[in-house]
Amino acid sequence: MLTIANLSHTYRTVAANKCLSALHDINLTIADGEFVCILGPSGSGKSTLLDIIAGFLSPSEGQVRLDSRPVTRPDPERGVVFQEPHLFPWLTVQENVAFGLICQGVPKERSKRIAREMLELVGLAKFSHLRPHELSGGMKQRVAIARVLACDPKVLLLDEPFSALDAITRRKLQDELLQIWYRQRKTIIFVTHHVEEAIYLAERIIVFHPHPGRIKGEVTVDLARPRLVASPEFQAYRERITQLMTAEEGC
Amino acid sequence: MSLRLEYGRVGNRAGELLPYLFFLATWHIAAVAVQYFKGAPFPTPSATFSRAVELLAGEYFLHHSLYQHLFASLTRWAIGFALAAAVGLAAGIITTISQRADRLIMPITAFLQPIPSLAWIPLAVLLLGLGNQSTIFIIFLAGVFPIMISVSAGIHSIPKGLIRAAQMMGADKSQIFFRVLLPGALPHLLTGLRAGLANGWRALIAAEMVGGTDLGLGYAIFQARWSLDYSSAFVAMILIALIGLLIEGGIFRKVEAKTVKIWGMSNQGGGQC
Repeated sequence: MLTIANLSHTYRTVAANKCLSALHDINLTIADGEFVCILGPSGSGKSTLLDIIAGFLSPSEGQVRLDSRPVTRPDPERGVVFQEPHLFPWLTVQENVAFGLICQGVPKERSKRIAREMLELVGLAKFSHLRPHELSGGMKQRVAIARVLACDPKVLLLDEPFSALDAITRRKLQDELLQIWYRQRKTIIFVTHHVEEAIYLAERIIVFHPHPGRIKGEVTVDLARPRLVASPEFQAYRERITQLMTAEEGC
Repeated sequence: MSLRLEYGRVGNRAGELLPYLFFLATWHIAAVAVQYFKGAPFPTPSATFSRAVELLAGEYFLHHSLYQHLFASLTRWAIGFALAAAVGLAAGIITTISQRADRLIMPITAFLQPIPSLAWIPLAVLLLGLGNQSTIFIIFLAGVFPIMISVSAGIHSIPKGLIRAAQMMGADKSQIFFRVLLPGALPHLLTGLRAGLANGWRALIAAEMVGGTDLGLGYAIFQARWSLDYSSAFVAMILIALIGLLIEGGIFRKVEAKTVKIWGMSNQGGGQC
């Protein structure tokens, strides 16, 4: 279980030398195996929250705990897929996927085998010897997912991972991610600013509001899968969430 | 179609030779003109060529063979460059690890770097005396700054996301250094090493001219003015140019072809990922 308690984060801007509040009093509990989308416009601190859960940033106040242990730094139990692939250009696809295992001291042969399995899983087994620059954007993100899965994390953190892809590739990767989730039942926290993507993927959507970033509300998506974007139920959710996102603060 | 292609290729090959032919022709005309108008023994390309054959056959020139001069220069160059690379790499890496070191070292570098390495010769002679050590010191100075700056720039150019990616996969500090920072800095580093090596080579020749050695290509070129043995000097000059080309084509191109080219990082200094 992942718990976020009384979490706030302020940072000092370099340019204006002012303290800005990025996140304000976030409280959230995510159950094991849950697929949660964090939805919000830019500036709502959703990526900052993901950085804190990943351990890249320490929050000004509050705490993130995974299975009651506080998160203090990055760890392979919390795998991250970034907006950009951030693959290592000097390694082949297979070496990129094996990177985490090698760093953790897994013997070479075993790392190789696991890397091959993961590439099989994301449909890139044939491309294992290529370098990242020889791949398309969608393929790169598949490698980024595979290298995280190779470390067998408890939680997958995805920060707008498909936002740079074309619509068709994006839908394909969304479906593949869902397949992986069905099979492995890892906890997934998926950040997006895309309402449709959130409804398509998530069991639960946490809606963020900007300046300072805070939770505006949450919506449990109770739709059978595969979800049909054109269905009236889907549209009803879209309507409801859009309203929630645009509603003025009642004060 | 194939005929035209074939023709184009032949045309290209001739085109590649053209600059050299033009150069040789200009040289020849200049040599003949200088000999005629000034009566000076300016060697023609053919005179230089026949002198080159003699020298390559082992004939002595300023009490040593061409090979001994060459070997002396290459040894100094190698030692000076090795020192520059070691110190430059270490200092460059330290500036990226410690902010305090960066603030201390970088302004000094910025101040010293524009000084041509030859301007250090009086100081080098004062500190180290005439001879090998001063020459090596000059080569060191010529190489150390570009290498240091390129390491630092190379490491800074690595996207933060790559380091974060390594961290979240469990890489510790030394793994991040050896598996991410060093390969990521390689495109910049190669540029720096190349500049350091070329600067060192140029500085070496000049330093030998004034550094009080009695062996080396630079020394040989400079001394040739007393013996009016200009054709030997020309042979030495051509040798210097060839060494430069050999290092570039034989080492750097090959290293690049095996690394940054296949990594897709060779377009410019920075690494896009």
